[in-house]
Amino acid sequence: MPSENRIIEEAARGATKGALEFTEEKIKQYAKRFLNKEVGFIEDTEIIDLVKAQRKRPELTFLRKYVKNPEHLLQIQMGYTLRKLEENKDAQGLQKLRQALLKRYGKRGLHVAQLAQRGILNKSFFQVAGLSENDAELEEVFTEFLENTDKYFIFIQATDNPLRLKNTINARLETGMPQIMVIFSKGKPAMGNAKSLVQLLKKSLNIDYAFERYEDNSQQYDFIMRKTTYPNLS
Amino acid sequence: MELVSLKSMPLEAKVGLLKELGYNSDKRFVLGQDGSRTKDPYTETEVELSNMLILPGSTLILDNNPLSIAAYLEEYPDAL
Repeated sequence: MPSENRIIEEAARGATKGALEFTEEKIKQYAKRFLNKEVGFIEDTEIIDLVKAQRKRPELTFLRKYVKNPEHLLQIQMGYTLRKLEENKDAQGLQKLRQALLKRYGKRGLHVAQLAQRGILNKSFFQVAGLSENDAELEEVFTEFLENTDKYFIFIQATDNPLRLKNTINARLETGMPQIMVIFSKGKPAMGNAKSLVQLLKKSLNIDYAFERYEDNSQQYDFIMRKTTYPNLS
Repeated sequence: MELVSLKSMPLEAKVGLLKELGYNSDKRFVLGQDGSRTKDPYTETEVELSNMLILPGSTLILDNNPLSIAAYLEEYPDAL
């Protein structure tokens, strides 16, 4: 372990080197070059590289065609970034980004980002894209999804009561709107609850809805789609 | 565009650079011409010297976070 004196010496050397490197004249040159758009100043490339990588994701390229609201696009991008930070186990980065999203967009914008983080938006968009007839319709559906996430996406928790939820969702679906709903659950207990809920809905719904489930070991998506809106459904 | 790291730049040099660009600093925050703390245009965060980006646009002083950088790149896609 380096001694305290050595650390101070090294810090002093670094400061001297920095001072020599950034003379008054050099700073003036930098400022001039900045105004000519030849140079920018950054802390490090880590966050820039992270953001640039998310911007290049193929699904974002696809979504740019249909999602015209730049705020929605940013929220989706930030959802992908949240996922990456989660994979990197960067708890502080996650917390800071969630707070920034909440501050700028409120709960609704944070919700869009979290739907993108969990992969729910991608799954839903691609599900609908496979059933739609044209680009204009897709653009309309995606916009509606993003502006009214609470209407279309339901998170089931392990502590939720399927019977009570069934009554709420049933009442909503029986009006014929929304024409599609996504029930998302994460973790075995919540996934079990979602399965019970879907069983109850299948027995009780009077309108003709189709059900599709995608699941892996840790999460599950149940799509409920009105057949008259999506006649291509089997 | 060349990107210069502010990490190795001494505090005095950062303040000097800000002054050249029409800003100032109280050695912790970036200050505007009126002495008020400069806010990141995308997140409204008060920008600190230890976590700032200075990027071409309208002499943009940003907080170094993913949302601000992504918003900046939406506006200036080829800047970085």
